[in-house]
Amino acid sequence: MYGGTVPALENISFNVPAGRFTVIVGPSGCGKTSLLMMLAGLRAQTQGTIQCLGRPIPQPDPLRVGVIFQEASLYPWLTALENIEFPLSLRGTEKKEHRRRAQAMLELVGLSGFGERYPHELSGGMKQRVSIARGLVQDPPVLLMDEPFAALDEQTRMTMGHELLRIWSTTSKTVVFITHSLTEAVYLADEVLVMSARPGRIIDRIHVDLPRPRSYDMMATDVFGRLRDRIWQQIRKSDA
Amino acid sequence: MKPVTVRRLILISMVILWEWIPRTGLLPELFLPSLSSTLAVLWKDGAIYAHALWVTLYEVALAMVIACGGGILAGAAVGGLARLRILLLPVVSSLYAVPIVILYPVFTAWFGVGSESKIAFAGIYAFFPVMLSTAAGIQTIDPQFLLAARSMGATLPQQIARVIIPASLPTIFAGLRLGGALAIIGVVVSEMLTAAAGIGYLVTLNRTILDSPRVFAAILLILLLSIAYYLLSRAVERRFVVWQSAGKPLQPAAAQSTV
Repeated sequence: MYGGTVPALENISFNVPAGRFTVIVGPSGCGKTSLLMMLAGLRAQTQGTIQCLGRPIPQPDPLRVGVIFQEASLYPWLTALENIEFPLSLRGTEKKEHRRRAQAMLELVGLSGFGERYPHELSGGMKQRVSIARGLVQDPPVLLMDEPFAALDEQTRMTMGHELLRIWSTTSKTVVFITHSLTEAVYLADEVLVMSARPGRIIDRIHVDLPRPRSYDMMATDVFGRLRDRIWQQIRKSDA
Repeated sequence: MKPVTVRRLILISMVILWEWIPRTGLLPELFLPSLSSTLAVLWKDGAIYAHALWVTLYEVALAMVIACGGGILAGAAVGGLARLRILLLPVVSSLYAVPIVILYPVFTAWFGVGSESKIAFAGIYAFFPVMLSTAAGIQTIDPQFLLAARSMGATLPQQIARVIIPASLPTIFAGLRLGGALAIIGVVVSEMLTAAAGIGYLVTLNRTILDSPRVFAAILLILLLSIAYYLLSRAVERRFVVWQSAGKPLQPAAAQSTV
């Protein structure tokens, strides 16, 4: 606004219904990640308010909001199980209970038997499963995911999306998921929020009424294609 | 043949050649005394060499405290704090190419010809590379590690103890390896220039009286000392930095400069 600075986000207003899967999609550099950092309490907004479960979130609150980043954020000096235990160990001291909960999460994400492996001994998809387990282990009602599958190859990415939906369906969490993949957005979402290029604004909300559980065949349907096309048109319009 | 086998064969054949070439008269004893005559001298003058080795080890240990202790702490500060980095790093980096050995005569004037001047010289000689490599290493810590820790509700002390320190371990060990290797070089070189004790002193002393077996006995000891230090530091590193040594081979950067 002054001295050549450009606001990252402008006039953003939306609410995420509890228990729903909301996907935010937009061109790179549109401020999606900034928005997510604010929702997580990791960065302060200059204006406006953010409420999570009826209260503002001025700093990270892992019991309300869990964050899942791209794969790089697993600690390479800890085993898979120790990584999942990490958030628990920051507060409690009941080692046995931590181990039990971490083990349960490891099973939920389909990695039982891999607990003693270090991250460098796991594949990209497996690392992201550990990361999801770490986000879920404190059982926060809200889960924020910042392009969690961006570093994976296309096939692994589709499989992981499907896996995420399976895990989500057993937990009833509120999810906000950021991606730049249109297919991923439509496949995962109850609702897609489309953001414009900088300064980021929400230019469309698209309700995805594909039935659940979702299956890979749906991607070939007309409904799926039309939804994906509508997102694409919106993004293209805002970029021009 | 496996690489390990080949390496061992090369080592064994070098030992054999060391013994065999002087015996055949291909090279005079003055140029290369045989391994057996070198070892014989080492055995006969055992007390002298043991004392010299003790002096050298003592100087290396104290120089390492200056170089590694100071270098790692200063490097962590410079690497971790942007303001310090902008102030100091260009100065330190530009001093990097200065051959610090030219300052050694000054050190002898200040600290005398005893151990103090060796410790001071070797300590400073090794300090700057350790500091620079630590500063570079600290900067490569992935900021995502800290972001993730904050999102999980880690307090600042927890971020330091549970994330920054473990993430810095590879850098700290690299600093120890480099600092130790350079401290050995610094001490031996300064002992060779002006000294009254130590292994480097024995090299110079015996060279001036053309006593080759005694020169080589001293060289052999320094060689063994450097290799022992490298193996020791690598073993310690493997134990503590599981995630790196298990994944990829360690870079033998420090070893190359010693041996």
